Formats: sequence, structure tokens, C-alpha cells
Amino acid sequence: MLPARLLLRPAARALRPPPRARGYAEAAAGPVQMAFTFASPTQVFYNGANVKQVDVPTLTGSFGILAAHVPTLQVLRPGIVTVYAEDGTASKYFVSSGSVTVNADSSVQLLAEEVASMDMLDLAAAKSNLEKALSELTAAPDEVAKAEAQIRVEANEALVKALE
Amino acid sequence: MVSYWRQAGISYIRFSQICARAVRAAMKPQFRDEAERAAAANVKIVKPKKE
Repeated sequence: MLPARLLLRPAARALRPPPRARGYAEAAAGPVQMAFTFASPTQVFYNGANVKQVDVPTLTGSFGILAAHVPTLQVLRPGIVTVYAEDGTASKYFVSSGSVTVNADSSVQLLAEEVASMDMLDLAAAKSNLEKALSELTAAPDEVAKAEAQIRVEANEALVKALE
Repeated sequence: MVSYWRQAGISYIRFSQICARAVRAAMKPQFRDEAERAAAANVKIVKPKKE
């Protein structure tokens, strides 16, 4: 036969609320800041900077990264990276390829192979390179050459689309 | 789904090289030279002579 006081304890424990785990529908607690690092092999554009949003073109599609984004690792394809500063001004860069890492602490590392600001690129050159790549594609002898020409076609298409 | 270049046997590094070359080829002349110089290989291969 249990003493009466032992019966009281579980009841008291049940009255205390269980420890709150964050549910999916809840917003992230507190103001989170993104520490954004963006570099190419030769130049650092942002180093742990506090920016509002970054739009990146990846092999699986383009998406925008805000602070408290879900951690992810993605691989870049040729396209435009847009960085929205705290005051809202947008800076555009054309990247050839690379990777983007979003960590759980909201730090984002964007490492690109080749980065060009929009005024460093020439639309006429991109168009003529696209023509050349398309003719190379039709003249390609085997699978590998065809795939390489296709990569060139897509890179130049992205360039032309970015510059028009 | 596997990308077409991976299926053809091309690695991502090669894909990256081709894309970087395409971007450099579309640069204006004054920026292109600098980019080409920076992108040149930094690896020198020396085969040891067999005794």
C-alpha cells in the first residue's frame, strides 16, 4: 500500500509544463543575423558581412537565402548572385560555378570559381560565343564532346540572359 | 536525377572549368587578361628521373 505523499509527486510534476521544443510552425527565436562570406579564388567580396538576403543560382534551382535559413549545401551553376544589403540596395554578380553553404548559425559561405560584376561582361561576346557553342554542339563527335558543348551552351545562355 | 554531364562521364570539376572559361571568354578585354592570368595553373608537375 503506497504512502499518500508518493501519490502526490507525479501529479505535481504533470502540472509543470514540459520543456518547449521548437515546433515547425514557430518562427525562429530572437533576431538572427546572417554572416555572409562571398569569395572567388582571387578576391573576397563579403567577409562575414551582415546582409539581408542573397539570391543564388544552384544546379537544383534558384533560391533566396535569408537569416535563419534551413542549413543546406548546394552547388552553383552559371547565373546571377544578388546580394541585398541591410539598407535594401542590391548588388549583382555573375558566377560561373562553385558552392554555397548555409550553416545552422546562419553563416553563409558562397565560394565561386569565377566572379564577374555585370559591367565586366560583354553581351556581344557572350552572343557570339553562344553561336559558336551551338554549332560545336551539332558537330560534336561523341557523348563527352556533346556534353562539354552543352555545358558551354548553357553557360553562354545564362550570360546572355543575365546581360539582356 | 543525374545531370546530363555526369551521365556523359564529366566530373563537376570539369564542368566548373568549362563554365569558368565561358565566363572569362565573355569578359571585356581589359578584365579578361587579368582573369586569364589568375586562372592559369598553379601546379607544376615534375616527374622524378628514374635512376
